[in-house]
Amino acid sequence: MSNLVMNQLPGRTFEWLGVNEAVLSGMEESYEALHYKTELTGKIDCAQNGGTDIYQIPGNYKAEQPVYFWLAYDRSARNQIEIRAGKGSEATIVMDHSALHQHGEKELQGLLSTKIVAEDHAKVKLIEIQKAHAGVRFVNELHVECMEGAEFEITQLFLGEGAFYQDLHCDLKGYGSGFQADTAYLIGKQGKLDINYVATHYGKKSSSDMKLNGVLREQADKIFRGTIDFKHGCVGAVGTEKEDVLLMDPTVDNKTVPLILCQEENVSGTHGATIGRLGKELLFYLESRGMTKTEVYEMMARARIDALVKRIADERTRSAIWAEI
Amino acid sequence: MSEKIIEIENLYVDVEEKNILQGVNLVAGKGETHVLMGPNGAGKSTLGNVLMGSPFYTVTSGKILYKGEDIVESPVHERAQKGMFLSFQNPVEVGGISLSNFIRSAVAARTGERVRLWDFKKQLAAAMELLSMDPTYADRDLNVGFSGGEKKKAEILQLLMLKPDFAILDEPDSGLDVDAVRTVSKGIREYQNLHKEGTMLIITHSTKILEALHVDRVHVLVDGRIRESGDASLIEEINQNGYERFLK
Amino acid sequence: MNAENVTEKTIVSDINRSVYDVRNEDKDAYRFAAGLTEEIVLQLSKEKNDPEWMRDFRLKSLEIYNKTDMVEWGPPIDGLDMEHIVTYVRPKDNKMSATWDEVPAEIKNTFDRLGIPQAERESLAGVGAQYDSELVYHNVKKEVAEQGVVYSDLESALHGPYEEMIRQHFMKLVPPTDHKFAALHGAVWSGGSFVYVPAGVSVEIPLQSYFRLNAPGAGQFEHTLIIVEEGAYLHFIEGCSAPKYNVANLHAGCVELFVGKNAVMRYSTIENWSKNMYNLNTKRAIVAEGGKVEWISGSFGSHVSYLYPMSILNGRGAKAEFTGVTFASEGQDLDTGCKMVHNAPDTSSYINTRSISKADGINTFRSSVVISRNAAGSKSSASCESLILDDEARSDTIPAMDIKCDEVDVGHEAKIGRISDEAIFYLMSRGLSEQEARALIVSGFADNVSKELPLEYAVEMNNLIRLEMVGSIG
Repeated sequence: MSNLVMNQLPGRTFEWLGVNEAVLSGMEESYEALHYKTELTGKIDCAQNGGTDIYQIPGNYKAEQPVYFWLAYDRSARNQIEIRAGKGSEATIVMDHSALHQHGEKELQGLLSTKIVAEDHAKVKLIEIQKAHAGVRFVNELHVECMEGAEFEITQLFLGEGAFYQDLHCDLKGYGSGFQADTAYLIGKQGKLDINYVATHYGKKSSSDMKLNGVLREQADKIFRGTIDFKHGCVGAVGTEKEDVLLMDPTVDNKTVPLILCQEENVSGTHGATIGRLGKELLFYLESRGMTKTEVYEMMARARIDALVKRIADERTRSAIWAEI
Repeated sequence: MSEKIIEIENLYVDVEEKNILQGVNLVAGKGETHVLMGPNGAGKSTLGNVLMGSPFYTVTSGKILYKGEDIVESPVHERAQKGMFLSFQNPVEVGGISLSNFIRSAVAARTGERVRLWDFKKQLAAAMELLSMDPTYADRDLNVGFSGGEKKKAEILQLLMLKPDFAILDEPDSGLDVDAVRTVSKGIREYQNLHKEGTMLIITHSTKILEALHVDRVHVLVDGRIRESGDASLIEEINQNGYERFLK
Repeated sequence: MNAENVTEKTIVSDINRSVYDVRNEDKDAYRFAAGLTEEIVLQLSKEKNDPEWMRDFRLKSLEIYNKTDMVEWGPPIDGLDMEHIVTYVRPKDNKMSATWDEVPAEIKNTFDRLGIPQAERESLAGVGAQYDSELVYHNVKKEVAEQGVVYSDLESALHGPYEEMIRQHFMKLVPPTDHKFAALHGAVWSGGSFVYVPAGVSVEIPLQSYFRLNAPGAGQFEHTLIIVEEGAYLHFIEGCSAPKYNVANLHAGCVELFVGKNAVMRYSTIENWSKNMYNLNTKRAIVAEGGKVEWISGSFGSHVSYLYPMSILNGRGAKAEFTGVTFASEGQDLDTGCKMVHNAPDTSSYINTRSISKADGINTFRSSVVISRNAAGSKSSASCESLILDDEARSDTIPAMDIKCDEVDVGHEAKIGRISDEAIFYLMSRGLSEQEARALIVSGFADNVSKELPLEYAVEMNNLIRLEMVGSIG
């Protein structure tokens, strides 16, 4: 067994808060290969390099159907995947982690590392639904590079009682490159969610936007670290992050650590967070239509998830989730 | 007067320790349409919100009897379940819940029964058509990104679907263009037709919306007190002379 | 004004600190050898005529200091070598005075230049003045003293009727185990003030302490202990400055505020240490039911600062406000912010900070808001704005929130950006030079703090901003 240290906060702060990194104890010394199936459309090639599977989306190829990856998670396992989106290409990628909760109460650890390179003017959308029972620990690391004019959009949904560790670094290297994260979570029954999103702005006029909407209940333990890092020279860059957390009962633990690091004068960065109960105004409006406070809370908790599902760009994934929840 | 629906007795209301309503008295019977007028800042919206139980206001003394029962302490949702309704001046945007699902939940809460989807959809479509609302709005998130006019229509749509016994319409016409005012007015008439015993309190400071409506009684609220009550002819008088006469 | 000036980068000269930079020779002062050993601590304790418990406390703190590591976050403090910091410097011929005439002329002149005696006459209820390690002046207005208000130097108080009260409170809020420099403070603290405001007494005009560090290579470790009893009110103002030397100076003071039930304590600081100062100060308040602490903080000086006043809201309905502005210019790395701990129901905290970064100055806003499980009905709102004046500057915002209770409203907002060209253009179109326009905008940006200060201090603060922006007082 060994410890894995991940999700390091890019600017460390008071140690006693326990937010500077995630330390995962009880990790295996080595893992078998995580199996997966793919459904590739048309011209996408796969090659192997070392232990990594590399998928190449050719330049200017605009994939009409999403590219699916079905990950097996039938035991503790890990894998690495790299996706290269050629210049001017467009693709929607669905990472299907539904196997995480399809093995009953089995305990397992899944580790996935994905690297995505979006070359000039490529547009990549990634959809990930992560649902897990207690006993499942899922470590998902994602490293994205966006070149000139490239755009990366991610939609992530976290559901259930498992332990989720999500690291996402998006390096906005090129002029006018963009990153958007649209994330929702509903964690309950002692589930754990540990997120570290880092948008690093190198390119001029690059933009980042992170939106998170979450619901915590029943001893859920969640931390969101969100960092907008404006590097020297990223003139005209814009970064925003916003997290709204609905707390359903007094057993939860919510940590929110939204950083802005700035070494450039001509940028604009904002972050906001609201944590706690529903706004009085909203509550009054909904209660005035005859719903009790409890009903309103349940409805709004559900609404946060529904709102995200509606925005998922892939019909097949959408209907799969509707069927689930 | 017919059977009383609402009786407000000597009502005093504070917001953030500031006294807004200073002894309001008002009675409305079944099937009547009352209009509450008055200059900006008189406390008209405060009265509407207090009747519905808004948490932003504190009743310091007085009574509100609804169907003979004092509701000052009643929770908001109970008032709604008993047939009260407030059309909000600035409705809140609620992401993740479609207009259609929301109204269906509200109807279920009001009637205490499950609503048959097919019947509901038919009724909703008819009401939306009456209000010249684009049918796609049914599946859009409640009020999210709606224009001012669309929000007001969505409130009237809820009025038509919920068919309350006592409806308070808080400035249903503010910020609307002429066509939209006409549509909202048409919606209100439709409610009067659908629910002959329904009582209404329409809060407004313009008179356009009232032109095509039957009005039983008009109250003029100034500085937290009702200065005068009269029949529909008061509307015409205010239209011509403004509130000058009541300000002394 | 010619049009080309509009697009030129403003060249802002370094601050003219002449008022603060006049230094006095310290050849006659009594100073300890540099460094920190048990002998030095014992010598200090003897010099201070400490009660036994205090001597033991110092030794225990030294032990903790030697065992504690420096934190792994925050600005580098490599330039601070404790082997070269003199922990105790007593001004020549020092004895504490209650009239300025008795203060040695050289020292009195320093405080005169800083305007302290004049401010005392005009607008303060009492003044304490510390020069290096010792208080040189302490006085409180008769009317205030008659209400039972105690304002004295901490050491005299230790030898008087308040010894037991001090013993019960001293470093109980900031224990030496808190961090390395709290331990250092516990070992070598010297000077500082003790204030006691009895229940129900409202001190209408502020008390002030002024800290002046004159000796090169020295440390200043004053301890401020304030107890405000039930229903009482106090405004305490703290001013700090030092002349610039080429060697590092250290300020590791400690402020402990005990705010009673329904009492209100306002603590205002205008800090203008010279830019060779390591300012590692610890400030903390504990607030009982219905009480309130208000921190007003303007940080302009020092080379490196670590400063996060903490408010522990320990009784139902207790409140804390932190209003701060930090200006980091050339060679400065200022890590400032605050900590809020909600430890009781219906408590509220409010944070409003602004930072301005210029040249290669670095600003870090760092905060923590913790709401414990038992704090239902609590509220916290924070707003921090950062202004970056040029592309050499750096500004980081590192807030953290830990919320363990559902019945709460927590909001946090932060913004970072630069002065808009439109605003400058608008002011220039009304006849201001670009420098003037920028200075005016920055002063306006910092008005969250200046409008909370008594007029004289607001004026001083605006002058400091002007000095930084334009290089002269207009």
